[in-house]
Amino acid sequence: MILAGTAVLALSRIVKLPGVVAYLVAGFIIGPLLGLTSDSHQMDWLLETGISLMLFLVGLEMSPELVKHLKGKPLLTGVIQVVFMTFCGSAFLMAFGNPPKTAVIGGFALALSSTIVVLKILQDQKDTKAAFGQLALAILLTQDFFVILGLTMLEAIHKIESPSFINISLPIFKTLLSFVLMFGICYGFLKAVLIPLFRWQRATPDLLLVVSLAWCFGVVTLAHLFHLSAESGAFMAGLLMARIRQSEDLRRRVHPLMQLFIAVFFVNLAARMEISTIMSDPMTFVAITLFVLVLKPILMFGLFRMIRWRKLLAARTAILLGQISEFSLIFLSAANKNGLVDDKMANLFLALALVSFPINIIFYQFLYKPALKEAEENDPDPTKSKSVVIIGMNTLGKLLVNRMIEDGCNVTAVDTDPNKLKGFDCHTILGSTDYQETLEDINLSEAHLVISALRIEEANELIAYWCKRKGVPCCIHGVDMNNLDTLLDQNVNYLILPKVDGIKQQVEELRKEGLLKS
Amino acid sequence: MTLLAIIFGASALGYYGSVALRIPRIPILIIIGFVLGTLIPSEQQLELRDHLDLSLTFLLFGAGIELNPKKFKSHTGSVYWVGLVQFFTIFIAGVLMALALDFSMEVSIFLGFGLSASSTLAVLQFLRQRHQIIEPFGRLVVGVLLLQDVVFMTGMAAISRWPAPAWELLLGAVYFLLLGGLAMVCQRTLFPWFVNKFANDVEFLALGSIAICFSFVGLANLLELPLELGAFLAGFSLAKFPTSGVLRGVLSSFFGFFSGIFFFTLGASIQITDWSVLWAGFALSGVVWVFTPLSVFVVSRVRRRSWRGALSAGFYLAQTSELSLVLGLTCVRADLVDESFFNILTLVTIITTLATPILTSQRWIDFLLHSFSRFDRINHPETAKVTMTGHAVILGFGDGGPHLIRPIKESGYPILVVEDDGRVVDQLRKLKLNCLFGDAGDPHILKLANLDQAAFALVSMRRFDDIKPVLRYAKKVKIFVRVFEDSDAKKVSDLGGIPVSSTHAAAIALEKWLENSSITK
Repeated sequence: MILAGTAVLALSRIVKLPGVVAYLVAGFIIGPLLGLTSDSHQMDWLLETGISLMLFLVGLEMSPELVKHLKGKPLLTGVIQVVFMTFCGSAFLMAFGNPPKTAVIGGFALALSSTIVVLKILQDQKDTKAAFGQLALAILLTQDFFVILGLTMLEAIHKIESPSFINISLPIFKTLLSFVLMFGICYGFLKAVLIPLFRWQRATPDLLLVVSLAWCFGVVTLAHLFHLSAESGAFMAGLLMARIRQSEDLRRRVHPLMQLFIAVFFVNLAARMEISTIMSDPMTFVAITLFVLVLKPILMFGLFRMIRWRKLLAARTAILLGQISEFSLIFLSAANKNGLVDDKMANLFLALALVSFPINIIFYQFLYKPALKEAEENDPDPTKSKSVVIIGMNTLGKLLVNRMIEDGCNVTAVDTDPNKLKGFDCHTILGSTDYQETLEDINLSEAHLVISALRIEEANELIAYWCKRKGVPCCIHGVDMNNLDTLLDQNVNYLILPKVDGIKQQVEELRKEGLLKS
Repeated sequence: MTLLAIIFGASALGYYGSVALRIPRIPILIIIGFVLGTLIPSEQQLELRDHLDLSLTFLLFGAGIELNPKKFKSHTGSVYWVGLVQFFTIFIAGVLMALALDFSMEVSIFLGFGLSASSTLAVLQFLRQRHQIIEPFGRLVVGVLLLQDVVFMTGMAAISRWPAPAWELLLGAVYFLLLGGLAMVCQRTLFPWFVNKFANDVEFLALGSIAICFSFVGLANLLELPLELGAFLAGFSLAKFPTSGVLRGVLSSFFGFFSGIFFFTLGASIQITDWSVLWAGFALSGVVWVFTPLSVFVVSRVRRRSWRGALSAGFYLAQTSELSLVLGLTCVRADLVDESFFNILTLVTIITTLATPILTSQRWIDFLLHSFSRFDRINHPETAKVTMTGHAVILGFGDGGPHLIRPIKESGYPILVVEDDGRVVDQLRKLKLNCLFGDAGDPHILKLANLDQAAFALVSMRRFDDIKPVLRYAKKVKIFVRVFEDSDAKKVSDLGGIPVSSTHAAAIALEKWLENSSITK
């Protein structure tokens, strides 16, 4: 699976498709085409872990600032979009003879759009900061909340036997109550135990990762006890963890781990696809594909116009969101496990994802040119101005930061320990430079100068490597005089050698004391 | 998921425990695994073994990535001597002890072999945590680990075909070496290109490196070698810089995840079925504790290593490798031995790993150093006291020492260098400099150096505990001590020394350079 995933991912990079498409294609090749699937206990374990980590990460993204930013119009638009499209999707599926319960679940899955695909398009076209890009991302964020709500409700819907008010409302009420109760318990534990533990002077990043994983899997286990889905437990764990000050650093650490597990998840999902169920009813597949690619954007365009968006803005946002989501697959997979939708529906959506993701990307790439590029270039991000980046707040790092600030430089201080970043009158970033996301947050490629005061040889060599790659001048601490060739190979502009400078200073001191000739 | 919650909950507890008690985390994780393992229901025990298997494979892959041969290139000769002597000494001692414990010849050979290599995973973590990986003995240890891993795995490739004709055993070893050759070629050609090409694509790098791991595992399977050997070689194929550096950020969380699982499941997998297992475990651990430090120490001293370095290296290597678990699993799977063989090897691995942080603690090394270094003075050429007075004493030559010689000589002072690295002493003597070979923190050596009659002394020693005796010994002499931390500077002042801050000096030098360069203008 991993080999197939990597091979197709390599090909997808050539045609600029996101990873999730590659994984689905790889799964399609090894499953339905070659028949190489196998079920094993370890595979189930990998899949469950992947989903939990993915939703933990989604929760982790929901920092209090982001949620605050979402309040008001963006949230309202997102809510209207999800409700409206779920209604349209359900009606469409019912028209194809699906029972109401299945149709509502399928309709909800149709209403969702893919964060991965949309982000890929926006990044490729450099439209992330454009108005329609921002609005699309706000809608997607709202959808994430709905996904969790949907996953939580699946357990309740599963218990509904006959469609009377009591039969419907009681399980929903019970589930919501469980959710609120569990949230309260977890919040209390976070406040009383975890936050004080993370504030502890000697809490290291390694410890942060392990404790967070324990927290994630612990809350998932608790969710089982409360008869809630594992996914809602993982999301709740992430959402609460977003309140700690190291959440950004934690997100960077969990992200690569999640990526590996989730790749296995999508490959495996597509590998288990039964193509015969789709081939037995090709018309439904064609119709549902057209719904997602054509009707969904048209309906959303109509909706956005109704709430008085400008024509171009409405059109671009609607086309951008014209696909289903990776969460649609996760949601339907969970519904399928609960027996709420049949295998045919689950397979249909898998095939739909395989078709709609690439078509949507290609359609967008050909239809629109990055019109806002020029405006973007003229409007640099004020948070990312050029600065001197100093990495490692040990005695040397602190000294250099203070001296550089005194000299009037725009300084960014970086360290993995939040306590070491306290009290600086400059921009600070908490994180390890081993992670590329930290380097992006530092805005390394735009830095005037990078200084590494770290005493970790490997970390220093890596910083030198990235600086050389990005063409940024750097001064690096040469920790071991016998092993400087790697740093020299990276064309480091200046080697900080405290041992040599200290010796020279000793000579100076001897001269001052009159013990040596001047 | 419940099992994962237990494992990570226990790991978190272990991490906090280790930070609070200031002891390395691996022993705590193993003990917690051992305690909680008994509470895990029997139906999940199999799942636990699956986790142990999977995490071991990935961690060997990670250990391979860490072993960059370039890191110990200046210690190559010592690495070969120390590594091979230790390996074969422990092998022979292990076989003899196993025979004494009434094991058959065949099982004794397997047990002896299982003891002969040290743990790459544990030692690298200990060295990193204590920031000792860049010290000369740290580099020596890393080199020895790589060498032993290669020798052990070559042997395992042969053992995995046991019982078979000799030519077939040899074929297994040859296959392993061929796969190793392929890893080496990939390390030098293909993978640096791969990483350079996709350095910015984290998703592809992550999946690609795991695919490389599985490709080597697949090749190992094809060649009928243990799969774990393939994983290790896959890691080794990615060990060259910048490949290893770029992948560290991509995979570190992944390895952190499996590291938590591995040490817990290792502890949980101990099954002491009867006293004979326990007895054998302790007896074989005794072999490792006695013969490893001894053999490493003797060879290191012959290779002119310092007392501290030789002792530290010996104790750092005094535990059994996680590869012995692979050996145990392989032999049990092939029905060569019964389950108790695996239990004994696991027990030895755990006991010896648990003891490593204690045996490598500064206090223990200091104790041995001060207790036994006097034996080194017997028949030592440095037993004669230096007759010079008004001289300049350099305590610890280090990397920066050469910068001191000229200005001191020009001022007309005779120079005496006290250094505990025999190789440095040899070089300095070739340059006709007066040297004392010994520990500069030892008052006996300070007396030989006639320190209290010196004009001044310059100290460049890493540990403040070594500096203290110097400052106490010669209170009337001006002693200039190079320090890194401001807190150390204060301690030096309090004891009457003159602190010279390397950090401040480096900051000033950098500022001067920046003033003259156009970079920040």
